[in-house]
Amino acid sequence: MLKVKSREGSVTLEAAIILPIFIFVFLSIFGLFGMINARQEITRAMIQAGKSLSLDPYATEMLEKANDKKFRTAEQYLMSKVRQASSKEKYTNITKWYEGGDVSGVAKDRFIAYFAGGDESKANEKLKWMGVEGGLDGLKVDGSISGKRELELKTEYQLKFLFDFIQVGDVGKVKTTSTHWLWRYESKLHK
Amino acid sequence: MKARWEKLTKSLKDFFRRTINGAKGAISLFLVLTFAPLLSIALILVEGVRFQNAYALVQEVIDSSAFSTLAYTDQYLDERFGLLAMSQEKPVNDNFSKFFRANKKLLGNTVDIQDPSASGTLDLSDKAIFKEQVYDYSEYMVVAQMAAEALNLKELFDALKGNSIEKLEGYVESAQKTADAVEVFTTLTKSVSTVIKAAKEHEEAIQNYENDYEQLEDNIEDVVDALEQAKDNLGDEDSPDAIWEKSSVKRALRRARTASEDYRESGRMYIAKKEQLEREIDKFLDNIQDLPSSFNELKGKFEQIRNGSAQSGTNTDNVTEEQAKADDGTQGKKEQRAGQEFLKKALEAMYDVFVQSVKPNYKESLDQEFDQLRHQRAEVEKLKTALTARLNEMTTTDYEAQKYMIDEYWSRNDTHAYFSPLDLQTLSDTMSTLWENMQNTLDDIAKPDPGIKAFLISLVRVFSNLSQVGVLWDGSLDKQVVGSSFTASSGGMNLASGIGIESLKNLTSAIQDFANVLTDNSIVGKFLSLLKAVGKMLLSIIEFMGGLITWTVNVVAKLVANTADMVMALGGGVGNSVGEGMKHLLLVGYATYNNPNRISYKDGSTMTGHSFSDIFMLADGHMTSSGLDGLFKGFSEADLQTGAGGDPMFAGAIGEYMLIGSYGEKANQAATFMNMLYFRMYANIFGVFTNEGLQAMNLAGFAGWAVKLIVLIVESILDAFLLVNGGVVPFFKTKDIWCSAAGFPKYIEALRETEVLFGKDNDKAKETNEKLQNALEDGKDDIKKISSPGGGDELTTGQKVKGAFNQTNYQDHLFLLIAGTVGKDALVSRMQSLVQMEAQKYHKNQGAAFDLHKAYTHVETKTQYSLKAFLKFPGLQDAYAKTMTSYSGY
Repeated sequence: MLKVKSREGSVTLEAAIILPIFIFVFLSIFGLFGMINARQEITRAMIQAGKSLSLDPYATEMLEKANDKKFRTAEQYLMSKVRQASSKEKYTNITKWYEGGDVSGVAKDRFIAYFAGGDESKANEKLKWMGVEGGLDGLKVDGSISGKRELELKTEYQLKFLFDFIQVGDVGKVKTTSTHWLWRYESKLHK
Repeated sequence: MKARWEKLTKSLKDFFRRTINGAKGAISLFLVLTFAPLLSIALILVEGVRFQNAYALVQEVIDSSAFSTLAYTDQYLDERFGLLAMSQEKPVNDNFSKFFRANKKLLGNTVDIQDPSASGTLDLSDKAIFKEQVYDYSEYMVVAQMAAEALNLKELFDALKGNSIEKLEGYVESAQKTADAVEVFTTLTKSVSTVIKAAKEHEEAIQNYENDYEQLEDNIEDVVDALEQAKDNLGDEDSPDAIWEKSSVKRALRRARTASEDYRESGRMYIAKKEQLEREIDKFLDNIQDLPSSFNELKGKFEQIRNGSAQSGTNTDNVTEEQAKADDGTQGKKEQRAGQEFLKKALEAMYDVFVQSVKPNYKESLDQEFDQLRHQRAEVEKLKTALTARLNEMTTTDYEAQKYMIDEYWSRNDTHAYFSPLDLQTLSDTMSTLWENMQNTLDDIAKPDPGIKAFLISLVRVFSNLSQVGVLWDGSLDKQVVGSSFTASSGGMNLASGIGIESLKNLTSAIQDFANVLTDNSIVGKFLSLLKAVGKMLLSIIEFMGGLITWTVNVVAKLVANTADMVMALGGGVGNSVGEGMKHLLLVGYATYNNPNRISYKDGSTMTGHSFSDIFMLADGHMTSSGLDGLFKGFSEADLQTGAGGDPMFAGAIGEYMLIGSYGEKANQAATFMNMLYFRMYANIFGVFTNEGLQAMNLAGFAGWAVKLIVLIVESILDAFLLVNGGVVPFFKTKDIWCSAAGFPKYIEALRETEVLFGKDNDKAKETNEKLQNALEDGKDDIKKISSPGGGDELTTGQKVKGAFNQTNYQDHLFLLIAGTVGKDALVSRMQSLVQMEAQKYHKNQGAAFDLHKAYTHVETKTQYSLKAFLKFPGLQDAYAKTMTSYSGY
């Protein structure tokens, strides 16, 4: 066993060994919880986007109904609100995206709306900061409708460790799926 | 103690000396001692944050699942009524579980969660929930609808307030006074007829009296002749008294006795008839006393005549002048004065005849005459006794009056001297002729101005022709609203409306009678007939107008009060916060514009865009669900068996149900029609009463005065016809009216433009068109005569309220009536009942059930979950277990 003859430097040496260990443990813990938080925040945004999307068919049908000349005033009022919302905040959409085809585009837009207020660059930065590999580009949002009314949103992304001192790389691929029932009007009574 | 402390201190010193050995290892120990708590705190905070995130995520997943569950809406409620409630096809929990299970994996391994339970809550049978949904739905739709209809409510309400009810009340008060006078005049005129009859009988009695005297005189002469002849034939040995034994004498005696009896009887009859005549004259005078105070002076004049101190030449015009001063110039007073002018003219005619036929102090003269007659009758009685005594061969000593002993000295001269008819001149023997002349004069007075007469007759005839076109009443509804339906199917209808219908029928009949009297020149005693017709008409008018006033007080006053908040809300515009006034507006607007009525049911659509014709097809059932406060509480299948409410419910006439609330579809329509008619009448008062042409008729006597009333009623009925057939009318008419030469063709034109009647090229429309053509053809000449003196070439209406109210339709009136008469709670109850009925029927057709009590608007979920602890401290696990109850709704 190495015997220290003198007391000089022993404290410094001890601190040099112990402090990084402590800091590493701290940062690792925070990094871990950062990952958990990122995953939960992305999931919540996805769920909210799904809820919002599921209401689109109803809103669109209502607007179509308001297109009746009798309700011109109501239509103008509502349409102006919708246009305002869709152009600035992307919280809703007046196109009939739900009638088929790929709905991933509108799903991703809606995700961004709920994740970062509709600002793509902000969403990109936020995702990167959270450790999503590739930021917004690295986040894959898929939307599909099955059984006519069942909307399924899927997100897939690589999450990396925030304080990767030892270059462990990506810690895991995250896949989440949320399912929603569309508020579809499917008017049987309208002629 | 001290020793122990020293021992502990020593032990610590030994420990540090052995382990640290000066400064060695101090940093590690320091870091352990300081970082350990810090790290623990940090970990606890992080765990807290993790917990919060997990909680939020659980809530998000549950909300998302509940949101998907809410997406299972009852489509019919949504489309038809704009109401949101969960479908009752599947249990709420089933739908919720499906989505919860699908989304549960989003929680990852963070939490242990049991399957939550979900149930529906806050159903649409709750009035507050129902109302809120209506408000939410109607917030833009109703205002938009009203903007589309371009209603300017504030302007209308102001005008309604301005159309003061005092005008109506003054009018009815005047009509009542005139009706009282007419009643007395009717009695008076009837007593004229009775006087004429008594006078005729009196004259007949005089004739009989004189004839019987002639007979008596002849018979007495016969007795004398027989006696003289018997005397000539007596033998010498015969006793002078033997002449009385002769058969010829006896026969003559018997005839004379009979004649004396007849003469005495005719004297009695004469007295009786004269007494009767006296009584009738007295009755006539008594009736005059019953005249209203406005006729006091005329009455005094008659009393002066009766007291024998009549002074001819009193200026009767004073009455009119005084009245004119007393009048405040109101329309009702003018009408009253016109009627009194007419009656005064008649009274003057009576006065003239009375003076000629009834002498001053006639009562005293009559008494003297009666004394003389009674004396004469007593004398005739003695004659009869004498004649009887002679026949019975009694001695002359038995005779009470020797002077009546019949012997050869008696002669016609003697008879004439004792028994000739008295000269009774107190009441003229030509009295009946005079009074008949009076009647003729009165009949002449009763003849209206030819122009007015033609106008009135034409008006009534055209109205009558139009009313024969049945479809004007029933539109295209399958259930026809005809007169008999008014009372036969009045289940649940309010009483006031029932009375209104009855009084309208009475009034229509009275107007018809009045027109008949004017038309039929052959009527004898036209004055009395006219009085009777006018009296009947006035009473009908008073009854009807009374109903109108009650209605006005109840509805218009309420309308103005109830809608004050709405008007204030409208002042704020659409963007105004939904205050109470706006809520009221939304509720009434929803009831009016989201439901079909008898006009719109075929071609219109609800605010949700749902076709009314589909509702018509759906609403062919009955609702028997109990438990609602609304209409159907207590309504059972048994009621259907009895026929009550047996119509297909509200087939197209839901707006009317919202207004009236009866379960009888026909009753709803009938009562709505009456309300609308009253409303039109109220709104037309201004236009009709200020119409220049009709104003000119004020001075034209009694018929002219009645014309205005009839015009008001006919004008309003024509409006109602137009409205119930989908036409539009100016809400307030300011100058010209339909009932004019310029207005009537425009009315026909407006009628032709109505969608209901002529909108479709089908058999019904063709039939209607044909009927209308016939009605117009029949009344072609009459229409030409409908020309009020002030009528212009153009029908200029609606200037009182500009803009939208120039053209108001059935629905606009319905809106105002609902706003004015139906309280918010009642309206909501009716809506709930309707929703229950229609939705139940719809779902029944789909093989499902529907109950408003199960039409849930919220999902209640109860969840138990526990966070998987990062730090597993013993005994801390319970702190991570949670129970969450959450609500999601529309």
